[in-house]
Amino acid sequence: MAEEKVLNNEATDCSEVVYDDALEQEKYQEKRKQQMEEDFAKPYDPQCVLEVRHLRKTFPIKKTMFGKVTKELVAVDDISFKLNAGETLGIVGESGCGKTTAGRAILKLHQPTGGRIIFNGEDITDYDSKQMRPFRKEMQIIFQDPYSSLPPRSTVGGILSEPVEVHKIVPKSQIKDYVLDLMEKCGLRDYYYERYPHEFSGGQRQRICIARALAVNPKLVICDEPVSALDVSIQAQIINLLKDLQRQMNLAYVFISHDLSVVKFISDKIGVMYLGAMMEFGTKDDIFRNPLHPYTKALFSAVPNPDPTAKMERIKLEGDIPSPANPPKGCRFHTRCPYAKEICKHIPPEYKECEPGHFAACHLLNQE
Amino acid sequence: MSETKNTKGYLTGKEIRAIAKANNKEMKRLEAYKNRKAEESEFLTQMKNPENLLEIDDLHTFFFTEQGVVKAVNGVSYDVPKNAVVGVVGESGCGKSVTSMSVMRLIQGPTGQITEGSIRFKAYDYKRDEKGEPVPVEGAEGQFQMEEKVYDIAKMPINEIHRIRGKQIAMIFQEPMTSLNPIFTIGEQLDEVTMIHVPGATKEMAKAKSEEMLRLVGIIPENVYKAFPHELSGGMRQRVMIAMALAAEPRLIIADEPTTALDVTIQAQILDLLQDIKKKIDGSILLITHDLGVIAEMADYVVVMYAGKVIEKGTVLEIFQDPRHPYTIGLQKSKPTMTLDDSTELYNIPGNVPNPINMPDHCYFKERCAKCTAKCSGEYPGMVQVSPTHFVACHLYNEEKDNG
Repeated sequence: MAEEKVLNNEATDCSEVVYDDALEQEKYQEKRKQQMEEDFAKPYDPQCVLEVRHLRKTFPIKKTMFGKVTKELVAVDDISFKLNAGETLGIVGESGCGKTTAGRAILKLHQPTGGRIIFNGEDITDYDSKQMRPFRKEMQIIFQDPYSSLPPRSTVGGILSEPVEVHKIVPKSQIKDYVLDLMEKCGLRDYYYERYPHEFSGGQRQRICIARALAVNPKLVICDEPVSALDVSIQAQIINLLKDLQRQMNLAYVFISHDLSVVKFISDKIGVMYLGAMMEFGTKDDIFRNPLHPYTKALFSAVPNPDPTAKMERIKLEGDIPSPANPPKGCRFHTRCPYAKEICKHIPPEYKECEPGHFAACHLLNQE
Repeated sequence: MSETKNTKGYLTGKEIRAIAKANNKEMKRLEAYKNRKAEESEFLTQMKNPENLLEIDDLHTFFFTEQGVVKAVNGVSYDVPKNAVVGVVGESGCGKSVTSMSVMRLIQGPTGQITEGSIRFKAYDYKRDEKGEPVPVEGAEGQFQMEEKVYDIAKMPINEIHRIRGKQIAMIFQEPMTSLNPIFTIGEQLDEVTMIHVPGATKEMAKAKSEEMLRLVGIIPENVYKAFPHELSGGMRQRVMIAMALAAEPRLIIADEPTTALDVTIQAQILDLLQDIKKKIDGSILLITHDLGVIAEMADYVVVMYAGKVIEKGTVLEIFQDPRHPYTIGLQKSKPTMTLDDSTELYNIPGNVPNPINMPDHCYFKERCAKCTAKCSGEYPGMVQVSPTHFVACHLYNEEKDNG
């Protein structure tokens, strides 16, 4: 830490400091490894529904003839958070930042490459599919596209009774009543029971998807862009429904979206991701009142404001997101950051707690 | 025709045959009208207001489907003034894209047809002699005399449409990946525009023009000219699409959801670029989007559409600060914004858009409207003028007018 500070000052004083990239990388990895070991040894918090520690997911993109991976794409790199019952965590970021992969890795739809997933005080990271079975009814997912995530050949009744039957939520004789009750909760009329998904509009289908996810009384629901395929007026209906159900059933949501205004409306905590890594994490108030990371600031200022009189100072980001297969050295964001300094190009910034509960990864914050 | 009210939820064989028969007759007639040969004088007309560049007047575009006639655009009228950005908002299926496709005459026939109305466009085109050939400038090789004339696009035969499509009116589509041809390089696709629309253009001329256009949209031509579309990112592709639209120096650019497929930071870049370009080309932009934020930022005039009809139109300040139609008000309230107090429940408009086949006779918004009165069950409300530029189609304001 002290060493880095010295480097920092030097970098600002005279820009002729030469960084040894390989050495810095080694130092950084060492430090991270230490941090990880420390964190893994910590006891589990029994209050949390979900705790994620240093989650990492890579995909192989190049292999040798014998199957040894020579190049990999780091889709999710080191994200950590805690989520209590009845809370919503919003994950925002641009396309390709790994937010969906993170959601799927938490459900173990992708086997995580590293890190720990602790669900209800139990470490489920290394469980196989058989061991995961009892947990499947505790954690559910709602997908983005309501048109392709419903089976076209079964009726709404069939879609909703299947999970109830498989997980033996209620005795067989009561399944229909249970499903009808559930449909009412989600704003679906009872005569929809015999209908097929193609007969419904996007908003109604998303309601069916929500009902299906909630049929097994889960504790945690991952909402992967549940409203981005919907129109504004329908979007509002679905957001309100999700909020209502959360209050009734004390659900924990991980709400993945690229729409900042929607995330702001529904979340208690927010994580901002960029190229696979968490850039900033904190409560909603922290993030919106006092964004620390330049990327968060730029992201907020890029949202068009539906008020023609408001003239905002926009922080312009030049260029595109770099390819996640070749992330930039040093800070991932330095290629587009308007405040980037020499140090940002060589040393990855430390992800640290700037205020209680408010984390960010940026060199600029270290200097102050 | 489609007036068969199906209470059963499905159509009988008899009804299907009746619909098909009526549709075939109508489609044949309209298709013949579209493919006819016509003198120029037949589709020349005059603008109502000479300040306008485009006037859409009582446009009806129908789709003759097997289930009945879908009135996608049902009596839409709005104007695009010179040097202005007109934003069209509405939910999916409200006919905003079909209106713009009608302007470009890109409606897929024989199912889709413009059945009624006119689209007047003030074009700056070649002066033509009796045979329809451009009149050259005396003494200057490869140059032609130009004049301003007003075309009625709805009446133009389809083989004359190349006079304006792509040249006078250009279009930027939503999906930059699907609108670029994957097997040709960016350079080839850009050059094509000049080769087609400029008589006597050479390859060198076309290349110079393409490179100029790429520079205009903020791309270094050396990197991109020989690249294929898949090598570019979404934002870059959209820039190429804009360059392509600009290459023929159009007077009107129709941008159909130009930023919907892009990330917010890239969206901000593209919107900035469109603002810039508008200043440079001395033309108008017709911006179609469902994002109220984009409209507020870009547009001078706003048109709000619902179920194939214009329900409100006015300047951007009028629509955002003094919205009159319950749908416009609801739409603005139901959009979560960055400044909204989020402890309360989000306002939402109940219900769904009505089925486009068998539209009711009364106001289409009646079932979802919180302010609906007895009068709303009557006939469809006409346009009421609230201010010189602000119009709304709602009975609430009819009554006010009657009483006052």
